[in-house]
Amino acid sequence: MKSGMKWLIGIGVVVVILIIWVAGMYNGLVDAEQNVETARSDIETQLQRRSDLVPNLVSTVKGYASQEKDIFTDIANARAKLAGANNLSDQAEADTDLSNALSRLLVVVENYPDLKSNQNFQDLSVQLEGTENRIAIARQDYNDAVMRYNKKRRRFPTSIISNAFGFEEAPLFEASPESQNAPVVDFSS
Amino acid sequence: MRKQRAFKRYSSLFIIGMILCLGIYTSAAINYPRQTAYKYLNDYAGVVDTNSASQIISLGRELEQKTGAQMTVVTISSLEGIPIEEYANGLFRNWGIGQANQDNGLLILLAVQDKQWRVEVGRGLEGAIPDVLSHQVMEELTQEAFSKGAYGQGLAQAYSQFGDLVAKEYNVTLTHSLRTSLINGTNTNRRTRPSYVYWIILAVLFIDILFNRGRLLRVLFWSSFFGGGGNRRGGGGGYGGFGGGSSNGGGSSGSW
Repeated sequence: MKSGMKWLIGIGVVVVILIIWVAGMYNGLVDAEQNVETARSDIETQLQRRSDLVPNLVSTVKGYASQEKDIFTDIANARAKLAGANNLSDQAEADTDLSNALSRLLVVVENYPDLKSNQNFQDLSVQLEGTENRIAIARQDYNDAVMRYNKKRRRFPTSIISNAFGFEEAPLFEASPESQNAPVVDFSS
Repeated sequence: MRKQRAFKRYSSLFIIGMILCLGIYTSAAINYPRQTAYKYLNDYAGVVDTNSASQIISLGRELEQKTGAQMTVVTISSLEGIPIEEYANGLFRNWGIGQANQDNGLLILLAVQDKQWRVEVGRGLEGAIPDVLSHQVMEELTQEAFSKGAYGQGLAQAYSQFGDLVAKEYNVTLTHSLRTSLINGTNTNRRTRPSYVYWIILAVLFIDILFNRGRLLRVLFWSSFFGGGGNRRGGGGGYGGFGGGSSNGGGSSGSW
């Protein structure tokens, strides 16, 4: 009887330790997943911010360079694509399209000195540049968070927990390789 | 007894090993310089004259005492091919400029040989200093001085202007300000911080003390020691270290 009690207590202690251990790993995964979510919403905020800046920029440029219709169409398409994108890889792709169209626009601007010296245009390009930098950083932070989460998820023994509770692998934010080499534009000159 | 001593020795060895590993881990990317003892001015390129230097340091010190915001100037000779935006953000986060929960830091980075500048603004100051305004300040107050090689003068002017902008956000005035002004005025749509948030926090703490024997307050007190400790970097002596603030890439850059 007495030894039976000891066994029970022993098993009880082991079970409690096990539960605490599992709970710790589970919570660690939840935290890491939450970090990924936060970083993702940061990207979305910045993408939206850029998308909101674009109409102002386009209308300013149109006042000086209305004949560059192709670029305006491309920008409008990329914006529509970004608004319609509902997963990360679509978003990344639409974002790259928009970056490409915008950098073409800013190359064209070189031909219109009046536009270049327009105060409103200068302000918009500073804002655009700032937003692009924020996107780059948000993107890097997101990918870092994803890497930390995925690593945690796959490593033993946490992998047992992540499989049991269905923690899925998070995707990186990256555009397809062929759309990645956007031309570099220097606004400051 | 002996066992215990051995354990102590090994555990301290283990901790030292961990710290070494961490050091190697963090320095794997870009090698950022260590903050100098002057805190508000880190003139690695050696281009700032003594007058401007003491102006910047005394203003930075006054600003931090009155508002808690931390503004620092860094000059380097070359970026060695790293984009200035990446370098500035990395340095900002590495040093942790600004207070941890306020992110009220500002960094003016000058790469002398590359002829590039960047102002990196912490999240908490983006309302007071939006990108366009930081660009305007640098264009109007530094461009001419930089092109003449008077880096210290330009930096002191811009630093003072940014200091005034931050001081205005916190409703204080700075005695060390150079009282610079911008040509077009500051055309910003300013956000005002909702003051009711403070009242709610105060009310919660008050209720906590009355009905909960201050348990929440104690938790907050202790967690302020342990929480966020990972962010804290060793300071360079002198005026002490930065507060662990971060930036999400706000600000502007340009060249001269």
